[in-house]
Amino acid sequence: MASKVLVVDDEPWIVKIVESRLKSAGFEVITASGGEEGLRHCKTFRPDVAVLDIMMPGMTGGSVAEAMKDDPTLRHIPVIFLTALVTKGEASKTRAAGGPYYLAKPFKGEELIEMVRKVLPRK
Amino acid sequence: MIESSLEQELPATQALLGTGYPSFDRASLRPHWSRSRPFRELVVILSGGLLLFAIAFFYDVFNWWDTWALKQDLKIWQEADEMVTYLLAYFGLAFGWFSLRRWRELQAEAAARRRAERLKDEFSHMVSHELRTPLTTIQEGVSQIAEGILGPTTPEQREFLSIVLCDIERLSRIINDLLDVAKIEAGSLKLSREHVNIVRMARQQARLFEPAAQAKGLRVRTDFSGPEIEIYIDPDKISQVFANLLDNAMKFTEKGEVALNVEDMGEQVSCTVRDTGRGIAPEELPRVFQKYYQVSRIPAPGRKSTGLGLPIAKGIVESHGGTLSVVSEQGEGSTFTFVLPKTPV
Repeated sequence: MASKVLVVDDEPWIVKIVESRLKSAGFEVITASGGEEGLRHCKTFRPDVAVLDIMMPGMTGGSVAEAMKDDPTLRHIPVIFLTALVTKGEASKTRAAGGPYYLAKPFKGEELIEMVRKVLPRK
Repeated sequence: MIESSLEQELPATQALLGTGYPSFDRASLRPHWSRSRPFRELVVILSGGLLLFAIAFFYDVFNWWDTWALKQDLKIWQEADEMVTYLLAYFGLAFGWFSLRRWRELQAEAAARRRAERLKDEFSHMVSHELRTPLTTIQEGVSQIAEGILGPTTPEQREFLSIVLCDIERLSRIINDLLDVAKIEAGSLKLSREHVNIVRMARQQARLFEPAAQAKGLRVRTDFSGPEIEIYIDPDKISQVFANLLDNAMKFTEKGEVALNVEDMGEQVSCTVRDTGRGIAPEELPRVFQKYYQVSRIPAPGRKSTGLGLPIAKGIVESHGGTLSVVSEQGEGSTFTFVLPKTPV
């Protein structure tokens, strides 16, 4: 069965394009346009990976991730943050230092797929 | 939120682009409050006022003149004495009032400065988000079409799409450069220093430029004073300095070589990028580190400059406590040298 990826971003075009890229790589994609909706989808669909935009009106990607950490049934889901405020160098450095996975905008499709494959829990 | 404050604060945009605002002296914004200029001025002024008050007070209490005048029953002397006391007290009060007013003025100035700085940060955040987000959809959308994910394309279409992708890369480089300049100007460039071997770093950078050099028929020569020179710097940022200098050398050299030297000088490390290109005219030399300045722009396809490479390199080197300088002779080539302290000063 294909792995499920949840994509949350308030920019509908980013969602569309990430969805298309992930689908072409054979993933099943669930989308949400805001933090609250994303968290709800997280509970109903149980994705294998969550791709969250950080800067969103209302519930930000950071608070979605925190809410997921607090929920024992969602705690294991790995999170990838999409952000425009971090450069590629900084992103790889935070990861190397044990921080979260960041994908710096503008990202390339291959980078996204590569990162999703990397964080995907082994089945 | 960010947009509205930008509309209200056009000066911030000007400040970022270096067109309107004067550049601010960061030293006067030192976090250590006692080192600030307003504080020092206040101390001087208030102590002046206090001294006058004290003189007036002691003059009145302990003065022999008063006692003597009383004893002699000299009315005129007593009045003169009171006058002097009051005058001194008035001067003290006026002094205090002026000092307070000046103190408030200086505080308002400092607040305005901080506000401008904050707006600069907000602006660069806005630029980051509002430019990089559409750039993502453009880049990814075009990539997916070019890769045929969304259906078959003709070779002509693919050729055009690859041109578009090249220019998207260029746009993204320009945005990164502008953001770097904004950070350097606002003094908010963050260095994450590590102990690194700068020789290894220089060698890596030189290797990256080898294909481009071969395509142009140039030689990249490296010369290091030893196999290992340890230095405490931000590796990403200093790599960028090497890259910017090598890129420039490559761009302006048609034949001969580009040489990269790293020399251990004890407390400091000196790095030199020398080329055998056309050099820089003496009148242009002082301007090469200016923002947006381009030494006789050449019309050619492919990688174009923004005129920001050298100012960024200079900003990075200086934020490490180092210096970047240039020597050039027209027709002979140019030599850019940056000297970095091994540990932060």
